[in-house]
Amino acid sequence: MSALNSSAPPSDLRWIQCPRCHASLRDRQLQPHEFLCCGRCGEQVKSAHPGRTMMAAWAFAMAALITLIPANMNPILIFSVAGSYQENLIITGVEGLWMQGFQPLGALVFFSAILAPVLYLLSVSYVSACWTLQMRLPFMGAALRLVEALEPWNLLPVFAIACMVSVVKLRTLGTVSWEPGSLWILATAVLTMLAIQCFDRKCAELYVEGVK
Amino acid sequence: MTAHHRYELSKALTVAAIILYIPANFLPVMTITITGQVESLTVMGGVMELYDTGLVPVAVVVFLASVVVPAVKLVSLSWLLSLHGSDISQSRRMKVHAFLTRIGTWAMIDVFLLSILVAVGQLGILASVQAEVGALFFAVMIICTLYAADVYKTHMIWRHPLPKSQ
Ligand SMILES: [Zn+2]
Repeated sequence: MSALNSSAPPSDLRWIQCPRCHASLRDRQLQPHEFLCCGRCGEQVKSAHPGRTMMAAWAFAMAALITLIPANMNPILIFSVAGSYQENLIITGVEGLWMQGFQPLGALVFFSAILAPVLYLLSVSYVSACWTLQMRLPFMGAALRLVEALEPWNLLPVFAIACMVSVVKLRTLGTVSWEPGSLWILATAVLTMLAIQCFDRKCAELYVEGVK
Repeated sequence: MTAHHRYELSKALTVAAIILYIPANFLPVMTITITGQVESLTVMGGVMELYDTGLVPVAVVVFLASVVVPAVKLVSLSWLLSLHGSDISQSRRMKVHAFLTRIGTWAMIDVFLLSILVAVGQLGILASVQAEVGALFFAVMIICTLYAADVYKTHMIWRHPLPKSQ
């Protein structure tokens, strides 16, 4: 390298650590469209274009937030037996469990099917918006920590499958009809998965720490 | 949290989940009353009922998600934790761990299924679905396995994360 940056060693002599399995990798200059992957666990450690998909993550997270509204406002299914019928939203199940004396279960369903997706998508879109607009807004670090903490709580795909199973199961008890709510839940689940795929966590971490 | 604390916490959560696995699978999770007939179902009972009504693919999905997944998770978590700190089959352990975190949430299908069924069962004497205490054990067991796999990080499988010199 030139004398200008002689204080820092050239990048192909530096060692970097894989964030996932902590293996040491030799750093190097990347060609356009190239990735540096960990030889041990396969994690993508460095990209030639860090944060390239952040804007897509923002878009998918916003879209998922929007589809969450009809997913919670529309009934998942309508069940009828001998003339009386009942519409069934996500929140109806929470109420049902709560009234039967199973408050912890009701709270769990409320958290994992309603609250966690909202918080997760809000923080993903907040962090990726900060990066895309290159603005340093307050609570960026807190939002990123929330993204990490809620990672195991991505339960909407499971809820979507549970809706389908319940329709099939209820068919033996009475008349069931599909309602658009479950399709909205499915759409939110797919959009959330796309947002997770596009969200570049390593890039966000570096940005939050202040290293650009 | 240090690696040792994470290991200890993961071990405690796994042991708790193994203990909870027994009441979660042997106590009824719900009671269904339909036109006068009362029926208490365990997790496995719900699967058998689906199977008996000829809904085999759905029965298989629920069986995999709520019976096989927790069992596989507990067995492989115990295996991972018993080999903690050793050099034996580290890359296989890494693959198993990645698989565990991917399948982990599917067991929640039973809790969601219950919440949808409970909501439906509010049609008075015609049809009612009542949650039972087994569901509580089941949910706590699932949360324990979820966090047992989550607090144990991939890098803790490898004993020497950094070379001693360049
Ligand atoms: Zn790695």
